Amino acid sequence: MSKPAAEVFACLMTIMLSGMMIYEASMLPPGSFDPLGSGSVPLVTSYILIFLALAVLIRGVVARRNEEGDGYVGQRETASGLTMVRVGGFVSLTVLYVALSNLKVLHFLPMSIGFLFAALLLLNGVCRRSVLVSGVVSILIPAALFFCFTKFFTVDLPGAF
Amino acid sequence: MLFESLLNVLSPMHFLVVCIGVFLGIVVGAIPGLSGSMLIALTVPVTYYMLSDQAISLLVAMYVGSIAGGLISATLLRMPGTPSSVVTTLDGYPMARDGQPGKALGIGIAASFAGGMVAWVALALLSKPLSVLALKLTSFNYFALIMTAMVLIASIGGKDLLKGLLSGFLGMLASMPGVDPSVGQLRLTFEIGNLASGFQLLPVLVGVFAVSQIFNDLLNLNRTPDNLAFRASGLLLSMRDWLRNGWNMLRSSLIGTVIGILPGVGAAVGSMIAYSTAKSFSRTPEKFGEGAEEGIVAAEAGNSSTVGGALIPLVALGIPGSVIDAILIGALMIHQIQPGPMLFVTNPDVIWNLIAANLVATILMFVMMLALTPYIARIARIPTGYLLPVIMLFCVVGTFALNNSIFDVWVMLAFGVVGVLLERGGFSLGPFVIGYVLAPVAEQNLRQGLMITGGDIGPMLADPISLVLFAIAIALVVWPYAVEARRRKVAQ
Repeated sequence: MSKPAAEVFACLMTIMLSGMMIYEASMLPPGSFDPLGSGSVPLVTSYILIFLALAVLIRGVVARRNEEGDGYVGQRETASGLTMVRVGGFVSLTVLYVALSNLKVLHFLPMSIGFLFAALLLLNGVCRRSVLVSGVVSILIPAALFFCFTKFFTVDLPGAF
Repeated sequence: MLFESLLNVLSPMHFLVVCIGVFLGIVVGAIPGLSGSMLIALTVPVTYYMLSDQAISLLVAMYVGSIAGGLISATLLRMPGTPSSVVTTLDGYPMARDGQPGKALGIGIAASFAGGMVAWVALALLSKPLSVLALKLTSFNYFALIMTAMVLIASIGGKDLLKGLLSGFLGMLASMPGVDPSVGQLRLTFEIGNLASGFQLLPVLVGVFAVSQIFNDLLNLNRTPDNLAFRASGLLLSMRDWLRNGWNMLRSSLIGTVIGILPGVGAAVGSMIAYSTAKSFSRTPEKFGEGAEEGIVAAEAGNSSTVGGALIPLVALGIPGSVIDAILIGALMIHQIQPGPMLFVTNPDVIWNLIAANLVATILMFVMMLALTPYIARIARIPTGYLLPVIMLFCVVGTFALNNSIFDVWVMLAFGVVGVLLERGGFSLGPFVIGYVLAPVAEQNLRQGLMITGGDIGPMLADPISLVLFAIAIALVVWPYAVEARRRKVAQ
């Protein structure tokens, strides 16, 4: 995503979130012994945010118009196809891993080993060296984490038991 | 009290914890793409199971190590391990390329040590008097102080005032769902049961710093750093080198310490200002950027001294001097320690322990950097592709372990996306996290003040301290626009 697009998207998300917060905050009862009540501060914060987001949006639009008027075309950041595959793949693997943990489909160890191995291969390519290193790392790290958390900190890790 | 705390930090187990912290900090600081804030955010869940004094020492040690560690990759790989080392690259790399990598690193290590020590003296001397002064502040004063700090963070800490303010207020809004800090009423939960306790601090921190950095690093996986061979000759400075650079070290350290005290400004700005000051005072400014000793000294003394400087407002006022300090405040809260001016009264042992740990960590950093730099330089070359998935696994496990809640992991991922979006849109993340940490304190003080005055805001505006603070905040907002308007007028 280019910087102007991310800026616009961030501002629109801010306005949407602030709108949701204003709706929720306006439903809260007014304060009794506390003059402000629970809703006032979130309300004011949300209004300020909407003002700031609009200011950033308008400034961005004016700046881009001026650039176009001057014949200047800003440099667009582009990522290669391979990078996008890696980013998309890694994000999908992470979401899948957390979702499977949430559903408690598998035990922590096989799930984490699988996630780590797949992610390492995705980011480092498939060759003999990377398969070997990824294999060792993806077994050692989850095993060490499992041992530390369950034995020392007595915490159950995500996944089925 | 300081002596007792020093003895405590030097006890075998505690000392080991500090050693581990400094070592991990240096390693993470040296690896381009990883940062101290990421390491510290990831370590907070583990400290939950530690004694609070050791936990705080571990985090402070990591903080000291991570700021110093960036020097190694900035000098040998021309890739700053941390944002605060960007300026070091300007002279460190050219000097190393000209056949003096050991000397470039030696000067940087010495300057980091000097910066750390000067800032520590300021921390030890100024914190308590400042906290005594802060105890005299009323609720309205404290609210005004926090709001001024927020504007300062947005205006000086970030590149763009509007975006900095937006980021800060967004952080404030993110802290508001859950239980109202003043009256205990549930609010902004959208009837989602898990939101009753709000967004927990740790998932937000790990998401914004660690996860968003992983996503950003994924986009830069193909970057190949310049790679210089390391030779240790010149790593240890002679007395003549120390004396020649002494004044520059002291001046840059003082600048870094003062910059560190300003909320949210951070090490990168400290090193930049120290560097430009050194250049303007130098007899050979033309050598800056081509391997000047003075440049490395200023940059490293400037960034390392911000650590101690930034701890001063944290200890005395409960206001973070930097992003990492915001995480440290979170760690204190996780350990049931309420940061703020009362800390010297309620938990003096914790504060003196933190100050003692800062001293021991600075000395250890100096020793470790001299002894381990050749090995750490090798670790810094580990491809990021092998590190990112492992760090993501740590993020998931660490966040889950805090409350045994997978909801926290989803929150962490969501805030990771927020972090990526903000960073790519040019919004700095520092104000977001500092806003998130400070908002409950600001709201509580405002409402407490209003309860005392029966809802009348007049006393706040009539109070000279609040008035001065608000005037500073307004000046910080208006000043850049006034300067710009004047510049345009002159140009016309």
